[in-house]
Amino acid sequence: MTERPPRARSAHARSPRTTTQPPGTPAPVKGSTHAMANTETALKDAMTSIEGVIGVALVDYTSGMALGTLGGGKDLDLTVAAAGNTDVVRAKARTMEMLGLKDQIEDILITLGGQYHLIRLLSGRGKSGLFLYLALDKQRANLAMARHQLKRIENDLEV
Amino acid sequence: MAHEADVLDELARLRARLPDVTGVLASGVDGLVLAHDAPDTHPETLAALSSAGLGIGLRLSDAAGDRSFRELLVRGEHGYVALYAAGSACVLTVLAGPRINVGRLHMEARRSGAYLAHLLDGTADDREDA
Repeated sequence: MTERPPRARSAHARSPRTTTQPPGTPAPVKGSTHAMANTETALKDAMTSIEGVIGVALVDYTSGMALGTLGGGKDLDLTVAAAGNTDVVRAKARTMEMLGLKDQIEDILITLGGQYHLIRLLSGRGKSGLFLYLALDKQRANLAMARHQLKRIENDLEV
Repeated sequence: MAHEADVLDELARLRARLPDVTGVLASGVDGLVLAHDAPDTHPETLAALSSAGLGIGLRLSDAAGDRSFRELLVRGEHGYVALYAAGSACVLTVLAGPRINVGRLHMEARRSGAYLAHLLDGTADDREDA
């Protein structure tokens, strides 16, 4: 894969507003204002430090609702993505249970024609039951780097 | 109501889309049942309480300075009851198990509520694949 200049993305990917509570969606009440800021920081970090990001969301898969979303815009409704990908995570967890696999899902990669969708399940105190969802532009993204950065963001995140 | 079969069809579609939903009911703001698909419940009681819940929701959002009530979600130990305003004269009540994907419940039920409003009020059908 070719080296890309760091953070040389177009402005549109960075401009969308942060919504820790998407309009019209009652987000689950979790944590203090400190935790909210930290969720916001992690989402901003993902948006700016990962090449080719279209949108990112922190999702509670016990309810299917997003704790926070950033980016996406009109082409990618992250509230819909949060709900839909909750079903993906639940289906995989159930399949593993039926197969008798005593293991954890680390991440799930979905490859589209023009995008990568990356789901990273979080673990650790206060973070189980959550996943980070990342939509990437296939042309601009470096998948290995994205997974590496996402792991770092997970470690820094306190909910 | 001339559209009872259509309303019942939409309720069946909503249930089919959400396997964790255990019952659905459409009632008027007067507390009377329009159509229901809610086994093991008492639809008349649910309709009356839904109407009362709608009233509470309206007054709550009103008191909070926002008159645009849309929905009310009640979470119990063993499941959810969700109320969605469907046009000016109808409320959609959805009963669901504790494992329901609430994000999807909202997505699907809001859409159904909008369609019921279209059926009952004659407003525009704004579903994208209608």
